Amino acid sequence: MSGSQAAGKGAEAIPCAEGEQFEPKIVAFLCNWCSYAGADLAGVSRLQYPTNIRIVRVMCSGRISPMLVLRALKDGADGVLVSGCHPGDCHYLKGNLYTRRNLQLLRSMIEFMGIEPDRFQMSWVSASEGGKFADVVKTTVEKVRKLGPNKKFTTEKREGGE
Amino acid sequence: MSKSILKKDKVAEALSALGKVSVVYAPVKNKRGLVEYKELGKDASTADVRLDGKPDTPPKAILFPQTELLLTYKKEDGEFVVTPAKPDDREKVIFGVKPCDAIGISLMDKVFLGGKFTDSYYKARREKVTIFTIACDGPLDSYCFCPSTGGRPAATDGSDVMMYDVGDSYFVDGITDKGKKALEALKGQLGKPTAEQEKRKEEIVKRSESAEGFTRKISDEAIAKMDTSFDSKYWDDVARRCLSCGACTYYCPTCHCFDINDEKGGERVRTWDSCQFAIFTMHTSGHNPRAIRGQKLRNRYYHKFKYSKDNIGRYLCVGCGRCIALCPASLDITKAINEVK
Amino acid sequence: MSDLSDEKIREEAKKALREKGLKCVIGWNAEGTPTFASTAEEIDKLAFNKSSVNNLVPYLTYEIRSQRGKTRDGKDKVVVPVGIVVRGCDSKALLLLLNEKILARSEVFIIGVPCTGVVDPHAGGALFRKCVKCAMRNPVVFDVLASDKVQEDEKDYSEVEAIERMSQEERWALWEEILADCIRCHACKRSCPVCYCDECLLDPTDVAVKMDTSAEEKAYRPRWVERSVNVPENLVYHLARLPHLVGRCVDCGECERVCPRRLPLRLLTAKLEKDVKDIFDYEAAKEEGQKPLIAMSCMEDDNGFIM
Repeated sequence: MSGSQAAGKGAEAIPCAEGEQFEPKIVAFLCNWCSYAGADLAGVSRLQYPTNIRIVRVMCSGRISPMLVLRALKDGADGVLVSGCHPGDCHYLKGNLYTRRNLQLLRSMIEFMGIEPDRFQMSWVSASEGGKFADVVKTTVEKVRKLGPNKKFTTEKREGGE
Repeated sequence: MSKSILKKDKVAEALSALGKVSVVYAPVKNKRGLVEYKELGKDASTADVRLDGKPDTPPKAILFPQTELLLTYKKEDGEFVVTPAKPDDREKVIFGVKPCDAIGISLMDKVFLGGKFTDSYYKARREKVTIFTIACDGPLDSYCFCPSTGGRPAATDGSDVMMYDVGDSYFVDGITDKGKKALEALKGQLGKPTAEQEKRKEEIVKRSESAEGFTRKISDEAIAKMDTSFDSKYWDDVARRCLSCGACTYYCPTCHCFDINDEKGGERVRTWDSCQFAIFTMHTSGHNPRAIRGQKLRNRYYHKFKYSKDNIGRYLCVGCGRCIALCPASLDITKAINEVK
Repeated sequence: MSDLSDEKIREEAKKALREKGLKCVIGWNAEGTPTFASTAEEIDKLAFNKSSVNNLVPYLTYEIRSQRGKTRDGKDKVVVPVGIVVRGCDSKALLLLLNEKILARSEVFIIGVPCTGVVDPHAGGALFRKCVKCAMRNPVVFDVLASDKVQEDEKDYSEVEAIERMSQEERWALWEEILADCIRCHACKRSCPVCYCDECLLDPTDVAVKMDTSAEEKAYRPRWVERSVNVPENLVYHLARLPHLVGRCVDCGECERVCPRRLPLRLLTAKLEKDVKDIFDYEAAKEEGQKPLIAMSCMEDDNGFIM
């Protein structure tokens, strides 16, 4: 798609020429003990995965409230990924179980209101699953790329502005 | 072109004619049954325009938008570049305004244009707005009480063109120079009034003067009692069922409090605020002199009836009754003041 | 919904006022206006009929919580119990507050009235849509009942199901138009019986500043929703409210009733209730002592869309 691929106001517009692919911006919240370590392992193992993700390390996926997901989407992210330990393996015992409860319904409500549900992804990636992490990122980026830029959460130029 | 007749079946044509020289706003019924001022598109005749009855929203938002960009700023070469926003200063006609709302606009003018400082954004919009008011013949519904606030169903304050319903037509009168000029666009739709039509118009004006038919009133004695009732527990009792939702302030033709915030992307934005919201008047120290509902409600009623009279010589309330109709907790400003202790 | 229940309400209210020393009894008067009756004369004005549309529970929460605090000697203030008249939907919200320990059972005296529906003033004499088929006509928690229990219906989710069947574009077209109409007056939030936070993250600055709030806190507190009113911000406002209602909202419909723009907000609350039932097999305020849904964790929850 030609023109600029501004992903939300405040973000810098990245101009791309005719024929270039849309590169989505994905914000990934990764838990410190499993998913972030898994991402590290993918790096150390030289596994290739798309550079579209911007990682935010949190101590536990249970810390991720729906507000953070919404905020990321509002601030211009085209997609959000939340990844934590597998159920039963949480470093804090049950944090990821709360995540699962809290965020399940966020996705169904987003979908109900007509927003593409694929903009919000979740995964369980353990510290030893570098390969899975790379796959999760690839899948997420491709799913969000198909959806195009996030327009519903961002405002057009305001009346009165330049 | 003062004193003419516009037949009701020519109104759609008239709106189109006006639409050729200005943007036209008229009361339109929306999907959910609410009548509100909408900008008519090119083909004004297809909109579901409602000229009878009181629109659910006042035309306040046309002159004082709920969200307004004031300026943008960005860093360029290490320096901040500030760019003021350009307010919407297109020529506009607001058609089908009721006298209470027109008075409301004239009161907003006092706030934003009177006094030492002029609000340039409001001014830029206001200068280009022409108001076509349709006079009422008595109260439009059980919530109306304009005579108690110094208004009348056929009052002309704030209006540029007055229209009176005289049967199958409107008697049209250009009041101000702006109004007379606007009527020139309607040469093709306006006709000469008959003596009978002129008589009917005079009767409407007469009935309006005597404020016939209004059952809802606020007595001057009650308003005078407010002078000594500031510290009374009465206001806490009245506000006990208030939910602080802010609907009354948003729908009031004269409520004008606003907040200014810097939002992401270097934009400074002005938005409506409400004295009923929880953190209104909260100081940065954490103290809030008006934290309790009774205090907030009292403040609103006093602002509309006492402080405004003291400061600008007129009540800020125009008696449209929308706050009463809308309140989810059945609060009633007329009852509250009439029973003030 | 007859003179008999009016009589019973007044009788029980006066009795409780005397015997339990209630601060007041919150009920409706004959016109449906919320009334705070603290004497026998005022109680005689209480009534229950088709105009009794307000959910009175938010007033109860305020009346009780405003009494709490510490005296000058550091002792807990004594909370004088408050009476309330509740229909089925109201009582469910009240039960939720009791389960969440926001209000103590000893602080409330509950007069329950089984309800066959109340009238929507905007619908020309017709019942509210939520009342046509209601699954919660009978109060679920009460000290006394003012009339006999009535027949309840199966909850009807057909409007929600119709939207679920739409395509994603159709759904967005529907909600974009609704959200464009929202004026962010916060009436929905203020009238909600289960929204009781003093500091709400949807309020303009999200921080109830106190004497000891540091400058840094004030400066860096995120604004989750901007003051600007436009579709994206309105979308975030409503999407932010919903996760806070998961397993808590009882679909009492106050949000939709008070909305000055007449937005169909029950489409959201009913959908939430349906999903909570389908995905977690949970119903808010089903029984006394029930634990909140999202305060519990479960190994057996479905992984759903999680990779």
